Amino acid sequence: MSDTLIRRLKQADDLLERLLFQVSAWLVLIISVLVCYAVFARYVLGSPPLWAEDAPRVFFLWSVYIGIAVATKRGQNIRVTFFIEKIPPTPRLVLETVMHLLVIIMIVVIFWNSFPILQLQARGTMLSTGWSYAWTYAALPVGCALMAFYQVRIMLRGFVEYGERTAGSR
Amino acid sequence: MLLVSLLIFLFIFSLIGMEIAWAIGIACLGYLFLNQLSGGTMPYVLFSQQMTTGVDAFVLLAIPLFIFAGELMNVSGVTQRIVRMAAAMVGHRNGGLANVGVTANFIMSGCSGSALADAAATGSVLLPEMERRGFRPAFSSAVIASAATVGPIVPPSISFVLLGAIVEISVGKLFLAGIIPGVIMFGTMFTLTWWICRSRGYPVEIRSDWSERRSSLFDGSLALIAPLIIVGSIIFGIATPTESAAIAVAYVLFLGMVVYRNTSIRDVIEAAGNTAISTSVIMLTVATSKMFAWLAVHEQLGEILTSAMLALTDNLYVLLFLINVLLLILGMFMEILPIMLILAPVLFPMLGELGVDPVHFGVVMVLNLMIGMITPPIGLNLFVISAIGKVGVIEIFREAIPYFFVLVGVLMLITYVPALTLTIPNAVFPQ
Repeated sequence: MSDTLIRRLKQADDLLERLLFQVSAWLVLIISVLVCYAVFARYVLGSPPLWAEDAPRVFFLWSVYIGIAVATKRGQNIRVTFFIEKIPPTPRLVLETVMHLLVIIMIVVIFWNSFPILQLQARGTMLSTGWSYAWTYAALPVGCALMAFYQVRIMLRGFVEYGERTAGSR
Repeated sequence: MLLVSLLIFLFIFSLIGMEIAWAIGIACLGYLFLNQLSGGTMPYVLFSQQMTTGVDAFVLLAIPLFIFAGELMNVSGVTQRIVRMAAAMVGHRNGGLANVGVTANFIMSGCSGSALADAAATGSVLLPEMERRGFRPAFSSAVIASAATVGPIVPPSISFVLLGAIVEISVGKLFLAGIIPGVIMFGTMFTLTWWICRSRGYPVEIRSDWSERRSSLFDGSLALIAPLIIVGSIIFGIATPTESAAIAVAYVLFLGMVVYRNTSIRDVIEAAGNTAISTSVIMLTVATSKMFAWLAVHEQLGEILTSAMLALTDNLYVLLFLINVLLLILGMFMEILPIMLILAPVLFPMLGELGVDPVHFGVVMVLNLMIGMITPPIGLNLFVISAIGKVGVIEIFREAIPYFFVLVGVLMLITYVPALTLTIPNAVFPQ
């Protein structure tokens, strides 16, 4: 029973990562196409579209904040592991947990404080696209929620790995 | 003073292994927290706002597009073709495969915008081959790591896009200003490698016959069109840097899917996803660094630094020297992106008042920080190459020391002869 539950959770975990990866990939593709089309429209069709700069920027923000969630999951953020690898397991676990907690607190603060901005900006619309500015400012809280989820996941994994390592050495 | 203590916090956190972007973010958050404790009125909302507005600029879109073009070049085998072309041109001379690496990196730099990507791409192709030929692994690693520093100097360049976005100077001008310094870096590193290899008696390749040269040149020349598109469209005012990057993406896609026919839709999506991830990692650092820079300006770090520097000397030449030394030292201990993002808003106005052209100093700053990529303890080029070649970072650096001094020499030349950077941009965009 619990085995199937764990398997299901694992599948859901993989599925979410694949989904986020695909979404961010397609956003990059859309940006490339839109910017190319804008150049084409300017020189060949003689009429550059109004949205030429604004629309790609919105897609860019979404690709950044969804991409950063995948980067967090895969541990691809830039960090220096030169010193921490030399610290013994137990103090290292404590140190890493403190760091993860600090990061989680920060993400929650950013998440929480993005709503007043979102509410304020939602009242306006972009002249060029007619889209609400909420689209621009919603990428951050969505990204924060995903990052917080993955950051908690990394922290818990740290405990599991520590348990396995100390059990192995006994 | 509050900010200084947070700088120290930032330094400690990043050194013990926190992601750099978050280490900067936590320093900012700590500042806001202490500010509120001491009765200040700076709201947390400011932080959230910077996280969006800090990365919401059209010029920054050039970054994913240049990275995407680079990813696609790796997928479609353009990298291998460039290495083959370099081998046919210089492999038979003294320096052998080592100078093939220097040349390939120089050519790659015209297509991609990142030193790390160039180092990884050419390193994984050349390092195993060089070991087989009898090159000392630490030496081959040092050559590739050093040669890759030319990447962000020759256009296109992610560093110049970022710098242009922060201090509001023309990215097009910065791109053009990097051309001559890039050629000088290439020339000096090529000569140094030639000399080292000759004195150590490293092997050279068999001179390739004319048919091989012709075919590799033709093959590689299709790849060389990418930098021509980028630089040409900026020189002739056809496209902005972001647009030129999108055209480069379209061109490389055309090469992979139509000419070489080795790139599938699945490859393209995979490359686009990897691009999104690499870009987002850079952008997260940009977002938190922008907040940090905002606080630094608010705390008048610029004025403090300026008066400290001017108290030491009011001679511009000495001042430029001191700034270069400061950047070199910081570059040894920190990742280059935050240094650039945090210090540029402080340094550029100060030097502007003293009559230094921002385009000139922009090239000096990026070249200086690139040298930091081959110096321990935190030199990302060394880390990447060390991971590919399985050679220790310190061992590689020992072999890279001559390159370090040569690059510092070039840096001094570029610093004190502004004509080397400004001639091309001023000719193309006369004021």
